[in-house]
Amino acid sequence: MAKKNESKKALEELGQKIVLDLHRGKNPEINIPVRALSNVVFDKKTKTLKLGDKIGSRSFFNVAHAKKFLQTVEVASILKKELLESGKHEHLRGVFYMAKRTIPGTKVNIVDEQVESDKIIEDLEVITGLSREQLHVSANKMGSMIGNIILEDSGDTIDCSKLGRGGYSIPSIVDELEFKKINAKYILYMEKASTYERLVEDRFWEKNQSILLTSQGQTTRGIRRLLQRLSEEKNLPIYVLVDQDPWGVYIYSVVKYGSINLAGQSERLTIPNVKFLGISCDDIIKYDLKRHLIKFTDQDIARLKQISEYEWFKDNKAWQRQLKMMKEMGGKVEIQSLSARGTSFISEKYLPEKIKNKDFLE
Amino acid sequence: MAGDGYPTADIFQLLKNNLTLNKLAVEKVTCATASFDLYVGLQYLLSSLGMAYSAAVKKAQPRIINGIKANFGKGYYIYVYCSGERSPINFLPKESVVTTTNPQMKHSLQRENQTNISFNIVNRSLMVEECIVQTGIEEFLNSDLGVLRIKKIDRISYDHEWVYDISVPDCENFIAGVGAILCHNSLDACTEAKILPEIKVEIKKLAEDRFKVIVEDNGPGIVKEQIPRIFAKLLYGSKFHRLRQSMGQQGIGISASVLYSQSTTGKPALIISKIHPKKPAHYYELKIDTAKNEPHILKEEVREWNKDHGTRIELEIEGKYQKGRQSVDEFIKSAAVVNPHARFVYITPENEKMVFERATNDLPIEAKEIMPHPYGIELGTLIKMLAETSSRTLQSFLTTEFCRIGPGTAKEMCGKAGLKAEMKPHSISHDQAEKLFRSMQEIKVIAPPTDCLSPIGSALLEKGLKKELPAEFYVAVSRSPVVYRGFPFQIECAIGFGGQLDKEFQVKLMRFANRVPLLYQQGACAITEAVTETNWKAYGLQQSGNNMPVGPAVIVVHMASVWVPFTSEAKDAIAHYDEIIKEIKLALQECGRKLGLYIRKHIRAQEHQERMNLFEKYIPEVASSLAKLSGEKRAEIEQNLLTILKKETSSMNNVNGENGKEE
Repeated sequence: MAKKNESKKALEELGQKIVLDLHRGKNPEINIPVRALSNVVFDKKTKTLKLGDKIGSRSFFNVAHAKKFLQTVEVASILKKELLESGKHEHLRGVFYMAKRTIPGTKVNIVDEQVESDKIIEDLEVITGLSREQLHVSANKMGSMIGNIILEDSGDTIDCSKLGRGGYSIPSIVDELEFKKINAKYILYMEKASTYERLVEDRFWEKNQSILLTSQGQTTRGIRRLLQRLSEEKNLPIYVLVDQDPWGVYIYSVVKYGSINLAGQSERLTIPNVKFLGISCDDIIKYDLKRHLIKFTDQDIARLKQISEYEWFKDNKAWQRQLKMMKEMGGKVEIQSLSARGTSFISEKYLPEKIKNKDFLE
Repeated sequence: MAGDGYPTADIFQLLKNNLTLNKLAVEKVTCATASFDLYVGLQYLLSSLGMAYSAAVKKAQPRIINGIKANFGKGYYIYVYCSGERSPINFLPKESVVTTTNPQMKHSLQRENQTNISFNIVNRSLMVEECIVQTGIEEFLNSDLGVLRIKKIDRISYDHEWVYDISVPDCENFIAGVGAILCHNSLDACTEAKILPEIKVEIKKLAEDRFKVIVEDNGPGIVKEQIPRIFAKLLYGSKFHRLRQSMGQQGIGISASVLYSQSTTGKPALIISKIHPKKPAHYYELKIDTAKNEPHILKEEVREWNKDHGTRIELEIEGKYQKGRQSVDEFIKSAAVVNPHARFVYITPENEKMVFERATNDLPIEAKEIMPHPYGIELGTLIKMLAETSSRTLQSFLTTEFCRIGPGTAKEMCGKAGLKAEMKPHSISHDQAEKLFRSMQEIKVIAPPTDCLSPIGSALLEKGLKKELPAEFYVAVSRSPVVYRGFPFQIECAIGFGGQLDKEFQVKLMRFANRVPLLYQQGACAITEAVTETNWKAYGLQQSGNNMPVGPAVIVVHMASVWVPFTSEAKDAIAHYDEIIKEIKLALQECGRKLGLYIRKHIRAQEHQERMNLFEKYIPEVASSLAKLSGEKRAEIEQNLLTILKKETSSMNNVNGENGKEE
């Protein structure tokens, strides 16, 4: 309950600061830490991304800012009035609909698309220093977990080894989950749901005493927070399995170091000792996957260049070598290409071998 | 012929040896006669031969010849000058010339009784800057004054109100072409006849792919005898060698339309024309005998037609009716923009009546016809002209069939080409013609006159655009005429901006050549190149790279010229000559600057106002959100916001600038 009040108070303070500006006859202004690569600092000590001290301002009497200013105060008032005061949670999509309406006398909508309200919520997170979850906003559930782990969620006890093929659906807010019993040596987190299904069918988690986790594409905050808690509270090693391409590398990078967008919340989301399992460029050679290369698009190449220049990869020789090899190969290899060596090649040979040899990248 | 009633020995010699006058050793031959008719006829004859002569009338007087006194009646004298330069036409009044350092001219000026001075001497002195002439005389030297050769004289009975063209033996090609071409030649005919044109176009749909096209004008009409040939004989017309700004040129349009109609539907063309309110109208049903290229008359009769004068043609053709950029609708609308003196009525196949009213009752200035300029001619044309000319000597050929060539220049050209000025044009070989052609390009000749152009004028162009286009700002520019390779041309340009014009798309470009809309091949046209190469960003329109600009604007470009260099016979696009593109760009820039000024002033102010309004709309929203967020009173917040808005309004422009971007 104390937390909820804290969030409510933070938003209220924001409002009162603006009202004070108005009283003084000043063009009202909201200061927002800049969320861009230019204001992200890589903290070498903690090995996480942190927000720098650049602050942008959003004032109402400026045509370029006016609408965003309106969106900010509108969304903030919704969060405060509709969610925090009543103690209810709302989905990003729901917040969008609460804000979406036409300004009387114009053809202008306060928000036209969900990205706009999503951005504002991200702004409010950095303004208040609170997380989206603390502001009672949740996101899509996009991940599943299976393995020898028993946990308690809202009073229900869930055994993640007895949930059939579906597994446990990871909620977007995981702070209140309680870990009851864990019998696993490591956690394997993978980008591809189809690989996850493959491993579930092969009962990989049972045979190898592990926990399997997946998302679809980018790692949601819920998963990141859950992985962090498992890593920190239960001291479980975490291995990441992604495609061999710039986007796969970035998924690993986000889990390990944090993301540019959420650099402000790195403390509760990053897992510095996570390890990159594959697929590495060396795997491509070792497991003869070169013929499965899919040529990079111009976008892929541009992204690869960006990633190799990120501060946290720049001084990492092992990674520079990987990225250089990737560039030379000129194409990507998906996890699924391992199936070419046999359906269960991944669960019977590739993964056990890599884990046994500690063939990881960091 | 000469002497007192008897031809002199010289003349006899001339007749016996079949020589020409200029081979005679004498300076001039005097012809005296008592017959006025002979006197007039002889003058026509001499001028048609390109000879120099002067004429005089002597009063009745008593004379003593060989001691015998005789009363001489009134006599008419013609002096034929054997050397061309002796003609008074080649002399200037003496008092016109003020100072000179040329000894030859000084001498002439000081001589008593000498009232004039050779045009050639003055011209030559001018070229080497040996003399200074009084103002006005230079103009005279540069002018087109001279003797025009009369080719043929026919007496015709003619009692109509208008005369089409007395210098052309057959008749004018004054109506031609279906739809497009038909219209502009109707305009030609009306302009020539000084009638405010009114053109009616009607298209009736008979079947999915069959239409009846009816075009009617209020032009001077066509004399009965000419109707069959004009409409049913290809390449009939006299505009081939004409150097004059006109819409139709070749006499191919209307007869080709008749041919098209006849080959697609087999139907004849129905024509009715009337030349005078008191005269009957003549009706014809015509086809073309394609084997002989001669008219085939199916029916001819006199009909009642409730109209003072005009021509109407009805054709049945196969085709497809379409709307959009390349349509009859667009053609007529465009024609109305550049022909503000004409009224158009158009009835579409959907039976919709569109009327394009006049913006002015003043007819455009009639374009003067000029002779080709030596710099603008091609070798092939020169050879053809040499073969067809009726001039006896090269000198008279050059002076009469070209503009800006006087006898002196002609001689210089001949000399440089290694030819004699007295040579017969017909005897010139191909090689000699080539040499002559080259010397014609090399010798300095004054630029051709530019009064052969009939521009629309900036004021009228603006009016024309205004009446057909729902914009809010209009600007038009008419450049001064310039000359390219001996061809005078003039560029005019107009821009309509704002209003109901579409903001999201590329600017609409309307191209015209001699008041005729060009609808096809936009990409291949010099006008398009000039437009895309102009930097429109500087004038407030959006443009990416060398593309058409984007914005609520229409750009009109008109090229008026005696010779428009089209890329093909279809007259769709103007060829890419640097001089033309440069001139178009200058016109566009002139318009652009005015447009830019307007956009900056008005549009920016409007946008600013719109923004202000937006703030006013936002304030209640912000106030209620803020009230909820802070827990303070809504009304008070709103009042504070409104107070700040008033204060900020004045300094707003600064905040709105480039620095408005967040972060």
